[in-house]
Amino acid sequence: MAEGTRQTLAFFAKVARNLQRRRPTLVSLSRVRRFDYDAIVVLLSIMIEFKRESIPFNGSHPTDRDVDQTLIRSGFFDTLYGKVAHQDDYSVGDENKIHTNGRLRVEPLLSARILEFAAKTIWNGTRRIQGAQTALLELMQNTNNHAAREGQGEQHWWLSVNHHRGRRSVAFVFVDFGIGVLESLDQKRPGEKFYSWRVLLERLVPRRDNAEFLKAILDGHLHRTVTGMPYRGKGLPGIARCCDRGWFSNLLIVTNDVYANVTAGEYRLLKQPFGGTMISWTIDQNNLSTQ
Amino acid sequence: MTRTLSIAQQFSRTPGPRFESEGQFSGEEFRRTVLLPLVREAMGERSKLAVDLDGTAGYGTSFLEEAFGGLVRHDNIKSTELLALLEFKSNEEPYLTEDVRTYITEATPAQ
Repeated sequence: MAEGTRQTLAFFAKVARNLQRRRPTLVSLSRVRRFDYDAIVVLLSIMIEFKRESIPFNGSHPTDRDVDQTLIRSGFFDTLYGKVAHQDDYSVGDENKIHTNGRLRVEPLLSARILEFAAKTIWNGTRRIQGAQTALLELMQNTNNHAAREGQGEQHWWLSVNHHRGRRSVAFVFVDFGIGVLESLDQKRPGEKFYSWRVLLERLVPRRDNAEFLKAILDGHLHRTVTGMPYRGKGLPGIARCCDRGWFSNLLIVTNDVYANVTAGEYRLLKQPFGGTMISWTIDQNNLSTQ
Repeated sequence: MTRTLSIAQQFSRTPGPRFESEGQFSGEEFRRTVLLPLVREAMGERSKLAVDLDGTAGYGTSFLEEAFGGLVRHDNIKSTELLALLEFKSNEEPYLTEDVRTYITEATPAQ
């Protein structure tokens, strides 16, 4: 998804509009020539909502055989067209290859098990990757607390893990199709800690666009401005801090109208906003772990 | 005398969210069932309580904030008393000890 962000997000935004308008939708994938796993996960999370809301949908397979096989192996079609009713918990794919979980609650046992499997692929042994567990717990907690408009614990989070055995690396993609980081802050009410966060950050950030704001948030400036205290790793900036410390690499965040390749220091605005949050990273033998 | 508490051995290797309603092995549950009784005992004995943070799969910040900041917020223990009572150890993630001390310092008693 990172390589074709603009087009891909425009496509997702269109499907999501149909979802919001409860329109029956045909998702044609026939001309797709490349389907990265993070894009599959985002599309799956949207289509699950169609299923949940009983909005009719259908679609076509990619004509490119390799792309189609990637989609089939991911468990995408089994989940969408199988006789699986809407549920709180989803588990799709093969735990040792490509695996996707959809949950509502914070699941420390599940994320620990996923990281144990990852460590076996990367180091061929049992190791703990505490900083990655911290990041997953932060994300699950954020989705549970902040992602839904309606209330707490109503929005699924989706975690997909792709094992690249040849490279001894594992890619993680976390998605919630909620309201996104910046809109969540915009909804703070008077008396809440981050109410009027934009006014506070505008004192620090001269250009005042969402890309600059997200960078300031990740750098811990919002926390420091609001509390007057040094930043101590809570929330999204804590995830960037885990990456800085070397627990994982290649941190990418897409939320609302911002695309952030945090590792490369690239922050830019998207013309087609992404209604939610997508975060990805990779772990390989160069990253930290504990035996 | 110093009492010891290993979170991995005496509570869970997989600490979880902030509140019990959000998932298993929460900071709230840890504080209520394990930490607070030991803190009360240590205060009664005028001893120290050494908290070992190592051996887990990793912590969410909400777990640690709720567990240790929650002692100030919900259990009406002064942050200065706690900081004098508790000793933290983490060889695996040394930055956690300062994080936890800050959560205690920043916490304010509930009205």
